[in-house]
Amino acid sequence: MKKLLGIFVLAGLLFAACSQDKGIGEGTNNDYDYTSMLNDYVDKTIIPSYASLKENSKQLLKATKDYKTSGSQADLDLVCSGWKATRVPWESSEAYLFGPVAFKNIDPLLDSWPLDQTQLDNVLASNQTLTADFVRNGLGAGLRGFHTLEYLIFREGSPRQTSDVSQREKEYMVAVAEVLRDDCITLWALWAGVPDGSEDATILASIDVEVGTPYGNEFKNAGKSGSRYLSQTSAVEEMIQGMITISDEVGSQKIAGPVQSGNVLDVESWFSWNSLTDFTNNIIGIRNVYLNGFNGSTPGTSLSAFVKDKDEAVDAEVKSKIEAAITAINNIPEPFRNSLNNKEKTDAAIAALSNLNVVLTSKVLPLVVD
Amino acid sequence: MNPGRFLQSGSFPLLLVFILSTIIVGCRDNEYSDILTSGGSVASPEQLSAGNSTIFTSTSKAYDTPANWVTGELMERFLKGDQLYDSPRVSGSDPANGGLGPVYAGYSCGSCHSDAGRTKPSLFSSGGSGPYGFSSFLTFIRSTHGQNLRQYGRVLHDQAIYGKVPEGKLHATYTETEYSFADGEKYSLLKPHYEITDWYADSITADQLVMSVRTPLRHVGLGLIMAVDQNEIKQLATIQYPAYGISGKINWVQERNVKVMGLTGHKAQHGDLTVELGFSSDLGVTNDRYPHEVAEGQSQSDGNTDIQITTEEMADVDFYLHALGVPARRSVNNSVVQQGKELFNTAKCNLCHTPTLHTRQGGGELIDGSRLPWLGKQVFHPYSDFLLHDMGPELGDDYSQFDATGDEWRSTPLWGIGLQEVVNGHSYFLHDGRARNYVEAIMWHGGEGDVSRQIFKKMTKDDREALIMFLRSL
Repeated sequence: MKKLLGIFVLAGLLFAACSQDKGIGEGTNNDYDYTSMLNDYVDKTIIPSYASLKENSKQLLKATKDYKTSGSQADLDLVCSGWKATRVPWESSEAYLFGPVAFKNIDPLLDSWPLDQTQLDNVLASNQTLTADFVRNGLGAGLRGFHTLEYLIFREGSPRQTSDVSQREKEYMVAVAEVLRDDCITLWALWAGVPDGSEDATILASIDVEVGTPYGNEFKNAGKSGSRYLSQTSAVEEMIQGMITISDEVGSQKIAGPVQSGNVLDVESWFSWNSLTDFTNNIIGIRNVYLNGFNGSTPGTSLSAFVKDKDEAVDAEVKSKIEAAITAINNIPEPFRNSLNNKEKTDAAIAALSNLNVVLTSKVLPLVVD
Repeated sequence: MNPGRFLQSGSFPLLLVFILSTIIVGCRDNEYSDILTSGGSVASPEQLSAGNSTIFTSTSKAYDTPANWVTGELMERFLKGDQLYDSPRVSGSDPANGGLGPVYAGYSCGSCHSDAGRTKPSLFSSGGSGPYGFSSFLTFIRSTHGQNLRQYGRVLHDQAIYGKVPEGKLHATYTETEYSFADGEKYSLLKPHYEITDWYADSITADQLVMSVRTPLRHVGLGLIMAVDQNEIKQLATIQYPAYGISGKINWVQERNVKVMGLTGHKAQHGDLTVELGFSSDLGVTNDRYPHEVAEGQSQSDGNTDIQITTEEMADVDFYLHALGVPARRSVNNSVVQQGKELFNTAKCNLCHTPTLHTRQGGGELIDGSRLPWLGKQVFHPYSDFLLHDMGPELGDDYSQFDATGDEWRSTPLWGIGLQEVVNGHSYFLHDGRARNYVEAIMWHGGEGDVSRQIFKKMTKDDREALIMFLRSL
């Protein structure tokens, strides 16, 4: 009888399947007004992180110029700390790699890995005048951005000895840092807009970047005329998708990739030994999105509050899995490149990231989409 | 069939079989009754763009998400392929990702197909081959005699590694002309004029050159396309609509010296997903099928004779492309969208942008011979017949490929088109991106598309907008 019941249940499901006809955007939460959540996502999470990226990149450029002038170890150390500081908001912003960062190819331009060491050595060995314009227009993605700079300033997790750094490398360092700063200003301005007459506006004009309508405004207007997002639900789904994507990437690619291949060259940020810090900041980026804030700012109207209202246990689970993922990453001994054989700790981190990914996919997303 | 026979037979299990089969027949249009959306609802047939390869997301990752059948070892393979697709190649002999150049058009698959879509073309704003020295355009070049030009290959490599010189730079200028719909509303079209300058070797004059400028295609649903029941395409090619001047034609092409049905590319000029060709011709990465370096025999050759990517790796990329999910349709119950769907048919768009096709029984096959049974026996909605249609001299460029003349183009599959602005940040359409939005794309349809264009032109503004809302739901 039990078997028979099963078959009838199956039949019932099939009937149900025929009668269901619901479209995306027409679900139970379609009527929920996400306006303040989307506003705070843009104004309290995304734009502050890009603003921090932009300001830190300016400090980094200044540090490279100071170092080029002085040649002192202390100034090279400052370049290295400036690089790490700029890395923090960038890695946290990887929880939202959509919009201008993707449309303008800024992600590969800022963060391509691996760098093209063969070409880099050829460029350094040449008589080419090393200017920002040359780097911007004459060289590909593998010869600019964070990791090119990292290679020029770090070895084995520490600042290089200044006596080992050639004059050509110092010139290249400044040129790359300037292009990196310009890319960071571009990214911020495309989301936030840029005040007329400001220093940032002048810099963008000099490299022919037109900002147009700030993307942040369009994202906040999801579901209204003129927005590429047909509904607010799609925009909130984009928020959640960003978290899902980076939780997956850290676990299955950034950690599992090198662990499986055993190749240290697959480890991102290995000259600086900053890999685990990068990964942690990726997950802090998820926390920022979930709570709608940036690095300790007052949280805004958040996805967390929405989820808590629907299901308090799910909200608690997401929060605990974010913290568990951060803890598990931090439990991998530094540097990551020397821990590829530490199966216990790397497996634990991959599992914690998978757990976070699963709760976002199977419990949070269904609260929003149909 | 007489149901009474089973009822009289006294065979209870048979009765159950009958009940179940009746229900399944009743669901005939919905063969995937177990497919759930991200929210856990059962998907409706209208949502299911690609049967079991349908994925439920309307985000920037809509083109770059695996089908649901990709799990376990298949997922590992998908991720490997994804990484090879996106990771920039570097110059030199790094076994993991070397081989770029010496000249090239893109530095990774993803450099032109960002998020498995179409990277925004840069010529429109910069007037050169792109800011940062990069453009996602691919420019086919040949002599007026149909031969490769001395010192050049089949495409213009407008990028080069340090120490080498790009083969040339593409420049575009546009002439804007204003037109009116029947109701008086204005629209305008940009007619492009292309020129290649800065030739690195022989300067080729315009009268010596035949060129075709192409934007990258969306990589939506490639697995289903490759697994299509080709008899269905052959059947479509026999149908003619003289009243509308429409008759599609198959592009029979050569792959590995065998005549096959062309299905991919703007002129259906390929019978496969061109993974090997792309690595070789576009990136300069040599492989077993194309072992000759991109500049071999030319003055910028680097003398490389090594193979720079393995067939196993390329098969992973081939798998990745086959296994990409197709975004489900959105807003299918919206009344404006439903009205737009009717108008799409009224304007005869559906005669070339065929809504429904089927895959063959056995599914797909990769370049390494691996079988993909999951792609078999699927109903899918590409909105294309994959046939060539003469679109008139307005869109033609004199560049023929196999059976396709310069004026003939493949009906572009429209599935996923509604998410291009979300994924890639622009709404440039047609083979060279000259249309800046849906309206312009429709109004560029000449030749076999002219009747549809005229019907659209006479529609009310509300009807035109409804038709476009339907396209945005795809």
